[in-house]
Amino acid sequence: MLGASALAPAIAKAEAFEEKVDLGSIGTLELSKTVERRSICMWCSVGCGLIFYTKGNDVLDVEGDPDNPLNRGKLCVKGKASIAMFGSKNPLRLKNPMIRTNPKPDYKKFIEMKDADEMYNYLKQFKPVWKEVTWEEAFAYISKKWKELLKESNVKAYHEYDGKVCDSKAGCYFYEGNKYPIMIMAGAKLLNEEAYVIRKMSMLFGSNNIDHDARRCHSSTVAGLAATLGFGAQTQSFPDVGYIAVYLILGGNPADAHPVSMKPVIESKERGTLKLVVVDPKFGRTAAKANLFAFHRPGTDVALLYYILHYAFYEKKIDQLEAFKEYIKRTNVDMEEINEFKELVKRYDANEVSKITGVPVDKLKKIAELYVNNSGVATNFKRFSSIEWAMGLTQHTTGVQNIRAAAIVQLALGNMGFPGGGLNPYRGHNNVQGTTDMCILAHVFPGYIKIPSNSKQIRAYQEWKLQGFPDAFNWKPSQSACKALGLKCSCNGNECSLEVNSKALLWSWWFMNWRRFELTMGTFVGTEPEDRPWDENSKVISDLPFFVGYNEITYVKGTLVDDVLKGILLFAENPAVSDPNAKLTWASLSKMKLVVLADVFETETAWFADVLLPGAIQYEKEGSITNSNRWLQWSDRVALPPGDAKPDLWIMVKLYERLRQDGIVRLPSEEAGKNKEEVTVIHPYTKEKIVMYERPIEPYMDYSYPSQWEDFSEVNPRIVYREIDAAVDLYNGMYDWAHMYPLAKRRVAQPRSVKEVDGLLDSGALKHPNTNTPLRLYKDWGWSWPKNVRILYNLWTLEKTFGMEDYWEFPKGKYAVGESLDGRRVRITGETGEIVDSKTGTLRPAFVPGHNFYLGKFYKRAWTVYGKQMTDLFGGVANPSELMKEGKSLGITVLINKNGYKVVKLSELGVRYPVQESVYYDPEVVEKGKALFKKPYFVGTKVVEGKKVKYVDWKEWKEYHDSFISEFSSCVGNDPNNYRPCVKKFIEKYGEWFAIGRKGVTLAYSLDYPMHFEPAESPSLELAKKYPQIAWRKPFNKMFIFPPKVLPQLGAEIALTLGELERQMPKDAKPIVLTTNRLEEHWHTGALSRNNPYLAELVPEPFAHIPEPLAKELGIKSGDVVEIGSARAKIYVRAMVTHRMPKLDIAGETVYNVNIPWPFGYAGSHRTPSVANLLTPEVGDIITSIQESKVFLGWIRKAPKDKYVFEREAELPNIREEGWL
Amino acid sequence: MEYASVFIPDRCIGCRACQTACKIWNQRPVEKTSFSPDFTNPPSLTPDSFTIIKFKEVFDGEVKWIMLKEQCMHCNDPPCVSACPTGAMTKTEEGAVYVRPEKCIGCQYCVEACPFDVPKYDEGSGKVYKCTMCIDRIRDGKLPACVEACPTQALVFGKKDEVIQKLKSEGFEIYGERLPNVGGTHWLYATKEFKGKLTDPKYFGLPESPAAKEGALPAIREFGVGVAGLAILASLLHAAYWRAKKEESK
Ligand code: SF4
Ligand code: SF4
Ligand code: SF4
Repeated sequence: MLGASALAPAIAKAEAFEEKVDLGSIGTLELSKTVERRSICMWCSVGCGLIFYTKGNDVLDVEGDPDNPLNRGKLCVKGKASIAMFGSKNPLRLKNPMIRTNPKPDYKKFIEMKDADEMYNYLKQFKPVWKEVTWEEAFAYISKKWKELLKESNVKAYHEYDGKVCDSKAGCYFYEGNKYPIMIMAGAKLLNEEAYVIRKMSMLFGSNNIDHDARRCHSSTVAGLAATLGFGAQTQSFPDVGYIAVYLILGGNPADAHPVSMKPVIESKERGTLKLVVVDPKFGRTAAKANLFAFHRPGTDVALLYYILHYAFYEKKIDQLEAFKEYIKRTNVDMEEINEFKELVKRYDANEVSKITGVPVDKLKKIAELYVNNSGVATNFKRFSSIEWAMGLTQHTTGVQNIRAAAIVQLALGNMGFPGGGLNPYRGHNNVQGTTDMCILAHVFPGYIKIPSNSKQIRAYQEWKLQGFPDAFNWKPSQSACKALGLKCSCNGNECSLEVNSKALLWSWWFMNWRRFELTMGTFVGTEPEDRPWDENSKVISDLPFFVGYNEITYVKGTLVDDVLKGILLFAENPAVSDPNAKLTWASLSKMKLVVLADVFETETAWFADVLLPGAIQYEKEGSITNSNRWLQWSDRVALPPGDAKPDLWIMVKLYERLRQDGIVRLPSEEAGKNKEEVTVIHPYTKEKIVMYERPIEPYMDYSYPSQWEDFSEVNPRIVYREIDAAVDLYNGMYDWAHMYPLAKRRVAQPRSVKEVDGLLDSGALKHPNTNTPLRLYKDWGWSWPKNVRILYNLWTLEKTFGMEDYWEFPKGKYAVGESLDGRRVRITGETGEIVDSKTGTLRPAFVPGHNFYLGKFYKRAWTVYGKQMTDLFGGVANPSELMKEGKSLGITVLINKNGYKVVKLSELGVRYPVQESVYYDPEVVEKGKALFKKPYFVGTKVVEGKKVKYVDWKEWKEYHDSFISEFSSCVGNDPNNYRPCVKKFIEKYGEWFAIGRKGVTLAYSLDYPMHFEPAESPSLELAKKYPQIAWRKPFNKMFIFPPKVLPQLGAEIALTLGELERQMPKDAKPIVLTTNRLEEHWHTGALSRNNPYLAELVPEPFAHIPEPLAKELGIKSGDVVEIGSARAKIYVRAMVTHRMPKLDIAGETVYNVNIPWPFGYAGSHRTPSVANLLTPEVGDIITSIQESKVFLGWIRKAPKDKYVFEREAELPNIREEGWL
Repeated sequence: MEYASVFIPDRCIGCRACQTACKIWNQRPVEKTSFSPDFTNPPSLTPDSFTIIKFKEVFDGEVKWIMLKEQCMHCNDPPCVSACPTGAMTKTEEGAVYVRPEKCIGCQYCVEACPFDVPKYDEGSGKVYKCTMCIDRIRDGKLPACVEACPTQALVFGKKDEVIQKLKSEGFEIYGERLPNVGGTHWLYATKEFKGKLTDPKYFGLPESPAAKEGALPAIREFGVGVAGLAILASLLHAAYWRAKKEESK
């Protein structure tokens, strides 16, 4: 395709080559004598394919998989260094379960300390002393402690009538998911099957106190994008990046974090079809390749993005373009609202934005011009500009606002949903997208499904079941249901007709998923008896735990302040290094009475563990992983784990079995004595009760299934994979039930023919107008959610970008679709995705005529049609084991007529594979998918702190905004020490923050549009007055303004202004703005990479990037030891003095930015007590709680050499001596 | 048939997959490095690191960050081969210059002779090590390990004349095609972005005229085999000394 690749011809074995060269001890691995095993990279989310060369259980070499379209045979250094992770190479790997024999530190000690060295000296005294035990002994130990903690916390399933949460006179049975005393944290390196099972386990425990790394990395992306577009995911694939015209990298650094993703960028840049624009507080490896680079102050991204819109509206006048007017109809705003929005944008002109961001005016203009002129609306959808980000946008108290601003830019410029355009949050871990989708998250169930919060929702759900599990279009909720769910209905008595708006569509989707959970997990959600959902004497039972739980940020409060959390179960997570204000995590883990950690090395977190379980690295397990662009690929086993180490899935299931056996897992339905469900529907006309079938209620967790490996035979990931397809609608379609084949295993990189589904777009027959190269989607490489769509929201591509039409025939009766499609030839306008049809067993288009916003969440069902047919999901499932192991369901349906009904087998209707659900998406559904350009995060009126608060949109708020700002500013005056008291005063006066009192009510901004807010620790008083910090809107953050009695010191742990920091700062230090980063060579907490000799060789020691002029002022040279402090703590690292860090002019004052890589800690083969996260604040984003680790205040000064503590294993694991052959 | 590898700094993202790929393929041990002020690590070629990526900041109001891959240049007329008294240092018809460890006596004449400071003496084994151009892989129909790994095609490999022709036709400036003293090299550098800067000391600083070092080369020529024999003896003693020293320190 490209000139560049032609430069590297595959070399033929010429005759002259027959003579081998003997290099002796150098080189010449005899690969011909090895077995090749393919897998997927365990490090970042690009998802590169690997080929390992193995001999028995030993691994000799690794190369990129040349067939894989994501990396085409290439790897970065981490992928290469993978070989040092195997047990056969790495002596530091854990091999046996172990129990701690010595005491743990006193948690109170950490809270008082501020110096990293001091903390380490204390911690060292409690370095764990381990005793090796068997798995049996380890599980017995855990089970015993677990039971004690449950007893201590008085966890109960039964709740009496209280008129609020429980409205049943017969009582309600559910667990309060936020009260479960044992938190679960399970890392984003887990495979999908493991992620699903751990969340399922928590659901069966009755707990929503579960979370994972994603909270700390991209939770704001998910919340910002999902609320705007439907899904919180990257919309372009990595190969698709090659078609982009202008790529704005804002708050990301892919050359460091996702090196192989730079391949298409570099190629297109050299070809001249892509301009790379990088805006960042640090000049990193990506910046080194940029066509245009600007330093900006961290925490000012909304302002920067709004300047692009300012240019677009006020200089380019895009709102007068036809393309704009047409595209904006795909969103929820009209031209009038656009005009209102423009007024907000008007405030962000070049001078103002330059003052906020520190980017010179002319550079701002250059960036905006380039970006806007290459956008969809400016080029009539022929060229597109796209945005990439990572933690630079997300880890802010304004994280969701930043992402919303990026999404709004793309919507306004028509850059969304085309090849070469989109929004690209590159995820961190290899499977963080998958573990997020499986929702190891405190606020949702697998597939982003709502957690119930009161018994009325359960009643409404039971009523929905009685109507035959309908989609929103066929649903006739009662008035009570409409009220309980907040649906828009027009009712005549109890006969209501439902307005099919997004709320109705979402509730029907959540309900469909709750049903999926019930059938696959063997649980029950509903009323007893089933046919009287609204009877106040019906018992309400929910095996789905209620209420949003503690997350990765708030759990320290759950432990230290609320005293709810008493134990923790961790899989592949290292919060001792990765959590903000790390000492609070150290304190929490010390306070907990049971800390169980499964990992592959003895990490920093292991120092707090009571039980340490040896897990397996990805290459020692098998299962599916979802890369950043949502492609599922199958990762194969390459070698066995060392010693007695086990795949994490095995550990989870075996632990569950033990806990269940010991009576620790008890479902609410069991407490209620309900052991079977009468699956019932009510005849819509005769109101007759029809019992379709009965199913036993018993939690299902049996994944034993024959395999060539013993541990997989005991717990087989392939069976879990099938369960995910059935249980999680988002992932439905990834398993081909007709051929019993996991589509994640597909490895076909060849183009589809134009006749196949999405064939035209994948065939290469079309040339992208920007690059003039053939368009490819790689539809047969793995599988992509939703329904194998590769480019999200791709409704218009064929039509607008390529000026093409395509058609698909649905011959009468052939496919399992509803009347609107059956027997029709339909027009296709974009990528449709596909479903295995339950009648034909072949692929048919899913989203017709193309994939639009929110699609996947909105759906129709072919087998339930109001007044005609009623069917349970899959035609009913009596036995989850049969479904998972044999691909069988009951496959029955009820055919309705005016005065009777008939229960028949779906097979009689031509359905051959009833396990393949009959969802379909027609133009009526597709049209409902509107992007939420405008989206309030705070709605309605409620009482906060005893005050009545009304949340108002920009339209109304703009009347009050300026008076709020001026009232607040005049309170603060010119004294930085007034800032905090003024925030306090406002909250106390109005009940809510960012609010103002008018006519007896508090009016508060709803945040329907983002605006610039200063970070919680702001370097500029002037800007902090004009753009007040939004952080204090969040109740959790208020801890730092109104500290809790048990932790009064929290009040001093955030410096709202420079003035506050300066009170704590040593005299000879200089104030700085700090950011943290990881490195290309080091992986997150470094737990894996610091123990990998190849990676540690490249960057062995901790350091900070310091701007050259600042270093000069302080007399600091590269290699010197520096003290870096914040309101939380101080650490000691080496100085890297560089011009790659900025000196910025912010509102007339000099601001220096210092950056500290955070993958360093005190355990493993390269150690330092100076954990960078000791410095970071745990104030969180006001929506998702993600911590503000990308901008906070601190100081720096030169430190004595002996403050620097760096140790390493005396002898590195020496790869050569370990023996290769 | 002559082959060549090319490093194109315009495309390099400094990921160092090449550096580690080389180490893995050639089974060289990991070194105990320390903090590097500019990321380059180890700071120069060593007997265990046949190739490194050098990072360099160029600052003239705006900052640039450039990356340079260092390894053996595989000269047309390799001074190290001429200097080697035992024939351990060999040049192949593909253009690769490599050292046969079993013949190397550790005299280090090649070290002296090399104008690019490439061969490195390993005190442990008493032998010299350096990049082999992956001649073993080339003869097996594979790309050199570093080229094979490079994610952004900053490294390319092919038949020397074809590669040069192609790069030229695409407008690249090439370093190494012809060079004084060494004739030219089989490792080339090519750029469009940094034209005129490959030999600029402020930027990449590749030697315009790789100077043959004094001493080693003529010495061998003048004194011929006899002296070479002495040299072998001296080197064997030298190697034995180092081995003994290492034993002691254990
Ligand atoms: S880019 Fe990511 S997935 Fe690819 S080799 Fe590197 S770490 Fe692995
Ligand atoms: S050609 Fe081979 S030996 Fe030379 S630097 Fe590359 S990988 Fe190392
Ligand atoms: S592998 Fe390629 S991109 Fe990476 S450092 Fe080496 S030459 Fe540069």
